[in-house]
Amino acid sequence: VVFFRITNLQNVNKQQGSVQLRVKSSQSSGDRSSQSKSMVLQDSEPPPAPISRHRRNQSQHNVIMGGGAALFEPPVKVKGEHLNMAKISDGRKKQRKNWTLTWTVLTSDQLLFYKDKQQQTALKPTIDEIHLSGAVIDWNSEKSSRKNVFQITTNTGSEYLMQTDSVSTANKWYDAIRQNISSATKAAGGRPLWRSNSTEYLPRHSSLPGYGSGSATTSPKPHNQAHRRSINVFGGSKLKHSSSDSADKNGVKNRLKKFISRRPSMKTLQEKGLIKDRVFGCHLLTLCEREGTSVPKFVQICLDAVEKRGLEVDGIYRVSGNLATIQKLRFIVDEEEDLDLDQSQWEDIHVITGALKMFFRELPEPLFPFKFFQQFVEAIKIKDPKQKVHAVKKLVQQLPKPNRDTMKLLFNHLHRYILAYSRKNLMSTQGISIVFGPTLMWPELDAGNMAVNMVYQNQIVEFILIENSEIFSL
Amino acid sequence: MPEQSNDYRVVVFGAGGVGKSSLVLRFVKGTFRDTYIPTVEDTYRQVISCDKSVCTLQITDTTGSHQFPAMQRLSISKGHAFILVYSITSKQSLEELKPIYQQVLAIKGNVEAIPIMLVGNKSDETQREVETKDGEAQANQWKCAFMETSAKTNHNVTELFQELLNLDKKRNMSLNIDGKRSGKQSRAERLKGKCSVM
Repeated sequence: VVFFRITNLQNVNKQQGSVQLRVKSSQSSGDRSSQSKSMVLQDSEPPPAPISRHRRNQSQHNVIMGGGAALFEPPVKVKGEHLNMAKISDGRKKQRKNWTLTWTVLTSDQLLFYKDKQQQTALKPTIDEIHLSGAVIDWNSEKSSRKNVFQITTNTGSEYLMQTDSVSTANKWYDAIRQNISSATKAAGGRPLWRSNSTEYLPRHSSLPGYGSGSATTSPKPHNQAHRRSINVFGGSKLKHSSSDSADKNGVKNRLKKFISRRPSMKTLQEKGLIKDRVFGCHLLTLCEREGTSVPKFVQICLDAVEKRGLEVDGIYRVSGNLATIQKLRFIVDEEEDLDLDQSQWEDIHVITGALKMFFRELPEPLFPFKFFQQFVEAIKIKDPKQKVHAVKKLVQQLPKPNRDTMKLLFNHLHRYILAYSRKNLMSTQGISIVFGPTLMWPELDAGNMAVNMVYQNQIVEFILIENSEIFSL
Repeated sequence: MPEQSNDYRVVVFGAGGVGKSSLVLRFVKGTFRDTYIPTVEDTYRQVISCDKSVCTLQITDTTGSHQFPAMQRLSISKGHAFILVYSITSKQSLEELKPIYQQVLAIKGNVEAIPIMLVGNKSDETQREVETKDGEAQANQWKCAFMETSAKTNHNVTELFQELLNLDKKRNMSLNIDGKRSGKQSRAERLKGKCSVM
């Protein structure tokens, strides 16, 4: 038995065959823009199936009931069973997640929670109850490490997690509740307000201020809290429901048409200053100028969060977080809403590191600007260590201030914090440079050999990391 | 390098740090390293028997990060068989295989005839987050094979690759080159000499 190992591109010249292999992969992966596009939702492409829906799809296979059919089915009758329940938000206020085993009873328009079965039979008051009309239910695998968790969000914005260990029980309840929500909502003439878990698949500009206020004047105003969500209603559930209701159909159609034609164009919105440059994909200089800083705020808060709670995490910066959650974070950042990374939905530190890496990858010009790329490559080729440090340092000093300051902060963070905890988080200088090399620099044109470039990208990052204190004169 | 018609290409996918490289290295070299270096892309070769002759098993060890979707697409379109690895200690790592599986499905069209193995690695770990039955359920849904392995303790590693080759009904492949075991060393030398000319 014989094997050849072709290592991480460093040994490309050792075996002729392997070089060819690299070349092949570089040709079709050369298009850098395709890389960032794939991370962004595009209208033309079908969105990736959201993770939270996988389970539901599964349940649709197992249970006879399908999504559309549920609309026409009568509500499922009362039933009782022991389920775990945790209320995680009361209206707009978050609550600490506290699972309790409750005797759960489903009626046609309410979900009732009792302490135990006797309480129900004795007609004692409930611990809590959910009004199903206008509520939204969806599987949720992020907010709890338990399995078979689904979330119900009421039309007042309260959020409940429900869970049971048995998949079939969970599926049964999920489907029954969903069906009753849909019939209760229809009966009340209301509409589901939002889908709790689908924000990440919205078109990018869904929550522009102009968009939101427009919908308020021309379409019936849903009594909800956030603009972001009102659009959801608009784009998703409302249409679906009205199509099943033919009497209302034309009215909605006309209203929609009117609404769409009345919307101001992108250009006027920009002129009015309603659309701000987004954070992701915004040029570093523009972003810093707008924020009045030399390091983007987003970078700063991510690094702070990692320093606060990510230093001892295995494979920090290497392991990737849930891409759907990363997208969600990105939308919030782009909307320049207030962001608190200590919230439970950003609990997974890999989501934050993933978003930070995505921020750097999506810069129109990398942190190491295009015109410096070749100069850095030349500098890293210098044999004499002293000269090499000197050359790299000189280049760093020539960088625009935002690039230099951001770089300084980032490398200082990696050096002083991440590497200091190397034994806990397992990340070595080499590991970090492999992860950050292609994230922080790439050539403007992919004419050169991607494989060769990649070797230098990693070497440059590694070198700056090691010589961090000298290069940034700390 | 001209496309070798008798190469059989296996591609290993999975989230970062689940042990793709460890599995491949354990299989190819029989060793286990405790190092923790992210892979960009590595390719390993091993000679196996296929339809009574020899062919090269080419194993592509991919990166666990999302950074190179184009490379991922290329590996999928070139691959004959796929190993999808997650770590039993991370539910998230199983979740991350879903888009990869969808991608395989999208590129290959029909996956029924393509050998795919879902692998729960690190089975030696005690801090389990994904139960064996959850892995099985996922494999059932995807209509692919399933196995739990440990590259560290060498549990099920060779079996994994043999089983994967068995899944290919179009070819009859085996990891052993029949009757040639004794002459392994000299044979390896000869083949190596031949390969470096390519």
